[in-house]
Amino acid sequence: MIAPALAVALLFAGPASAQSQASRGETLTFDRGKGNCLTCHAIEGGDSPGNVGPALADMKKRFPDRKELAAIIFDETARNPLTVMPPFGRNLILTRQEIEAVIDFLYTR
Amino acid sequence: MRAFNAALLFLPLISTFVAAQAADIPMNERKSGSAFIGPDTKAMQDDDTINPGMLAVLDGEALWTEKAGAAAKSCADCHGDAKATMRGVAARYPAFVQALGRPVDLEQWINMSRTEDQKAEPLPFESKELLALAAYIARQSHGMPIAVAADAQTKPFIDAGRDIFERRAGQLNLACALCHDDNWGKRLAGNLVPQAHPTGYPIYRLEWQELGSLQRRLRSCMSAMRAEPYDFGALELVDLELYLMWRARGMPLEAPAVRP
Amino acid sequence: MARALIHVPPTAKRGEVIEIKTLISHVMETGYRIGVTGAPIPRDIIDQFVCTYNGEEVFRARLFPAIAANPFISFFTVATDSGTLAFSWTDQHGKTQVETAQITVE
Repeated sequence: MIAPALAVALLFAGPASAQSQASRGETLTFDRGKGNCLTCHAIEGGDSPGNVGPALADMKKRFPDRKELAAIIFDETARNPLTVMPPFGRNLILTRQEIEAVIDFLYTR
Repeated sequence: MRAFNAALLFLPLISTFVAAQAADIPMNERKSGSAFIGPDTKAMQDDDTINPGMLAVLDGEALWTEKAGAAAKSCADCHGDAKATMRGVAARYPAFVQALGRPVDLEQWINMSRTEDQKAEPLPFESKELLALAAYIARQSHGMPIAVAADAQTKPFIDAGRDIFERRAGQLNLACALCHDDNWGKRLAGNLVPQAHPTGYPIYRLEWQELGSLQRRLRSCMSAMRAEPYDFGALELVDLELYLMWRARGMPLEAPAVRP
Repeated sequence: MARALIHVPPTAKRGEVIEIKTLISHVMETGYRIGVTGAPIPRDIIDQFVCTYNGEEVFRARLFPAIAANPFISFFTVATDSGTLAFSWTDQHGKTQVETAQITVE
């Protein structure tokens, strides 16, 4: 009797943890000491955004490949040496796990 | 992915531009920080009777005639009426000092006078007294165009200052030029990015609730970029001040300015 | 004696509404900031400002720690007669400073 309950619990474990990543990602995105993304980007749900960078909207449509977004956040200078975007991964501002959480959140925008 | 591949094609082109990182602001597009503040702040700056920086100017005027040091001399004893003798001085600092073989800024020059001529202790950086004297002297150049010397002697130091201005630093990997040459007029979290011309120093910054020097402002900017700030009086800061004044050449001084 | 800046129009027409601006040098320490020792820096603020016009009170303000350093206070009054405007700032310790300005009303 326990096994089916366990199976059901495991079934909901996947989506449940994905939900919490987006929520964690939102916290990281708006945290001035971590992602601090609002300083340069307009993001739905955030107040007083900057406009140095493009608005972060339609993210899942514009960046269907997670790896591309991860590379941009990790170190955009690899793609554009003149960028103003800090290398969040290379300079140890966000861990790879935190970057994944941020992407989970951005995919809801 | 397509965009990324397309970008790869341009990589050789991008890398040749890395050295010439940021384009200088065209001379006729330069604007003082006054153009980036709200109307109330500007009104406060333009009225001598309510500009909080004037409190320091009045303090400086009093200090100008105060005797100091073993020589028991006041600034006025040698320099007379500041309105006449200090006219244009702040507009050409940092200035080259032959004895040191390098430029010094106004605060350092005031202290050199204190130690060598008044035989007094130098005033600490960012002290109320040093800022008051700097504000009083800067006030005498109000409305005059910035005119630091750009000759064979000062060129290496202007270039050194430009290097610092264009070099990425700190955990955020930012260079002054990236925001202040390339992205002025845009917003960082609701704050307008100015062009970073030192037209109003020493400034009364509402955030500081007091007057402060250009070096203080540069240091706090470096902290904001999460870079180790140079110490007060560091040669790098003076080189950077000199470059910034050269970059703002011809723009009128408006000290003491009021900033958010 | 703290330095004060005062803006009063030197002349005005009788019945004209005039704007008066004042600024006084004062640290306005809130009492909430923690000092280098770890203890709060004690509160030290101006808590009262009064303006009289030829002896009659025309403006009064109570100040609290939320007011920034070097408090700037501006207000309007009606130009009635020529004479003296007196401004007094009193701090929490009861110390008062008074400054005056003249106005000529036609």
